Amino acid sequence: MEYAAYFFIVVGLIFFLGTSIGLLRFPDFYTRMHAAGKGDTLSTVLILLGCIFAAGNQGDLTWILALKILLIINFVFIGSPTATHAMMDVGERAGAKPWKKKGENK
Amino acid sequence: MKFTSAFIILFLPWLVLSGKYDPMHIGMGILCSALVALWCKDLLFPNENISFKKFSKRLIRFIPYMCWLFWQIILSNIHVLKVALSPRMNDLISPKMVRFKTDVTEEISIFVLANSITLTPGTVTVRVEGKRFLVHALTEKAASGLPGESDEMERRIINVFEKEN
Repeated sequence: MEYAAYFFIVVGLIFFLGTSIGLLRFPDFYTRMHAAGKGDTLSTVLILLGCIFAAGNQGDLTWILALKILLIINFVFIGSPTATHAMMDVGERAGAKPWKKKGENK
Repeated sequence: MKFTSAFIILFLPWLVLSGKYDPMHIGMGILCSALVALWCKDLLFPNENISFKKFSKRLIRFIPYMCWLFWQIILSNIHVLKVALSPRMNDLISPKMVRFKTDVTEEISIFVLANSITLTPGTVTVRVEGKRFLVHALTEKAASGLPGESDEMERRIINVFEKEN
């Protein structure tokens, strides 16, 4: 139980780290939205799963708590892609130029 | 029929979120869910002709699709993580806009397809107009999983929502 909690939380944090590094390194608006918008969906889910196991480890896990955390996961899953999509759409409408590789024509 | 489904959909989260099971709290839950279901059932189910049987069948077939999607999300997350951390990142990424026309017909399946594309890292749905999708893909590998190139995701969605038996 304890190790499962550690495992999920650490893996979630690794994904979060990758997301942040990607956010800083990618070249343009769209690619940054890729990193920012979606890496954190999976890592949030993993950290919340880790929280379920951590609560179970401390002995105060009730099924109602687990269900509430699953509900949060559900909303993150619906909300995060929708927000990403909305921002990409608006960015495209506002005329943000997609980054191209050197020597690649439009 | 609509009223009952709306009532159940509203009452189950009430039970989960309230966490108190004395007669007063449950009674308040029943009262509130019934009132809201009465007023808002047409908002939840705008089209008339969905039967309960059809709905539950779709729900059951949706569960394996969720598992498959989750596995895909993990795989492509690892892929994007690798790209983000790689020192030769600029050679690996080749961002581009992809346009394709989908074969799915119903509104709900178009919605699920768009959301699934956005959920898998490396691809984001930018715009949906009717059946035409505009998708931004981060790398070649991410673009190769899109419905324009491989039809696996579409086939699975059609399996879930549009097969009537």
